Amino acid sequence: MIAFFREPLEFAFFVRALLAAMAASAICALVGTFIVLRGMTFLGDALAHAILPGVALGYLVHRGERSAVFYWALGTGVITSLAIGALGKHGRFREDTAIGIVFAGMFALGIGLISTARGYAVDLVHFLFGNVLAVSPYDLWLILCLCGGVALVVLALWKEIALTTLDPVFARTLRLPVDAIRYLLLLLAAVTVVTALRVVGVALVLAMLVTPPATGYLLAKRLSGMAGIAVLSGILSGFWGLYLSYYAGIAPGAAVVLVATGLFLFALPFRR
Amino acid sequence: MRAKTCWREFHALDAPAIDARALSVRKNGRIILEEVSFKLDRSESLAVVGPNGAGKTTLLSVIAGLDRPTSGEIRIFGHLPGRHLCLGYLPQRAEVEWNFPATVLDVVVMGRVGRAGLFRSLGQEDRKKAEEALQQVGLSHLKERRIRELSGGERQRMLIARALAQEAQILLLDEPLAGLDAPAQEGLLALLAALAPRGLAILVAMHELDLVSRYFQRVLLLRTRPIALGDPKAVLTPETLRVAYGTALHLLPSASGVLAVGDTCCPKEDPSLR
Repeated sequence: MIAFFREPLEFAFFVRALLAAMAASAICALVGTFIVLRGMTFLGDALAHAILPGVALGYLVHRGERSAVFYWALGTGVITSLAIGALGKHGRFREDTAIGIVFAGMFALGIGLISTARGYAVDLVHFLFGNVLAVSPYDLWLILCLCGGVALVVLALWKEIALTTLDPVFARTLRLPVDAIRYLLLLLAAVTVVTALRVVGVALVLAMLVTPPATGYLLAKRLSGMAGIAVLSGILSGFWGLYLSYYAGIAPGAAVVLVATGLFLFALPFRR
Repeated sequence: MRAKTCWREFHALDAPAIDARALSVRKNGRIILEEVSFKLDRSESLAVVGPNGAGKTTLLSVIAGLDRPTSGEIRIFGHLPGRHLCLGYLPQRAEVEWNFPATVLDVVVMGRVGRAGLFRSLGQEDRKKAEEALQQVGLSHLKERRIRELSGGERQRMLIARALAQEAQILLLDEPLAGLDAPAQEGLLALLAALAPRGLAILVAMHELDLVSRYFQRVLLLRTRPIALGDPKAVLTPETLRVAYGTALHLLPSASGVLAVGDTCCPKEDPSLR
């Protein structure tokens, strides 16, 4: 039994991947809790896809050097989240239509850019589905720092974020900066998505933002319980996902999402 | 004379709780409100009635400081709104995310958020205030209940408790009776009538004309501009109602005089109540 857990830990790359997957899943679950409650899930997905052209540009400029690509993704994520925030307020289309246009356009631009490089198919797969096993010590450090930072901000502003989610009109009468908090949450979502890109990739980020919080929502009565269960279920998905990937030989990103989905299905009969 | 009764803003003690002076609101060239003036003191309650689109919601949000008047001004205890925590605003129920995972007590405690300040968490004192507020609205037995399980009347009471926990001295309620059955409507109005004498100024936007005279000292009949203001019996006459409601009003002669049937049709649907 102990050998079961220890065997993959002999590989340093596996340990790094494990830690990165658990941290990214946990932070996705925490931020995702508010994204789900605010009905912003589509937005989280759009954010992930819209980051691709930034990733692609970084990839072309730095000739495939991965750590540099990280900062390009972060920069694009921040710009996109602010743009999406502004888009929702003005404009003649409904918010989801506007997001759909931007999201698909940016995604196509990203694929187009990457396809100009030779041997792009392999790298494209990495961006789309993650390559957590290739996380370097520096990448891991960066992921842990970003996750810690996001968690600190969310915990510090917990009651403000909760109240503006529950009842924005009331929050405005208390003179809470409702719009600023919305932008902040979008920004946090962008950082979260970027850290999760390494683990599950563009295509599956949505699952990490939505599935663990949904499990929490099924089982918990209160917000703190929902977030707690979500984070726990995220960490478990990261952990078991990587082991599943090691022993069953499937892609780690897919394995993480499969475990998260399994946990959700398991929780379904116990909903309260 | 100033007294420290409200965080961040002192009250002029001799000023009325709400002093609306010729409020007008225009949006995209359309006149929403025109020259609305009234005063409301503490321990008084005022009903605002009028057909859909009469400007009731806009009036409330101007008083709450969420909208600005195009002309005229609003004074809350002698000051401009915008920095008053003593103002409890209950928007139409659809504005609240009822699927949010929270207990009744959680929501009422949130009334304390404005007083706690940024980054500070809420403590024992805040919890105690919230429990007291729940007692006052008669919801103590439901405090651990999840909010999505509450009935329409209980939801309204919970929001009132939140305003009380906030130590609001002015309550603004936007169509609190919509979607409630008759006993729940009367129960809620009785609660408000009991709260007002404790020093609250209460303003209720509503459609239920038949209940106004039984629970309110004064009523403002509104159709963009004020049609009449004062004692319900003097204000709600067939003539004024016809001006306010136009063709939506049917006047039926009956044994006890003229029966005015206001067409208050189609209050906005509340998807959370199913």
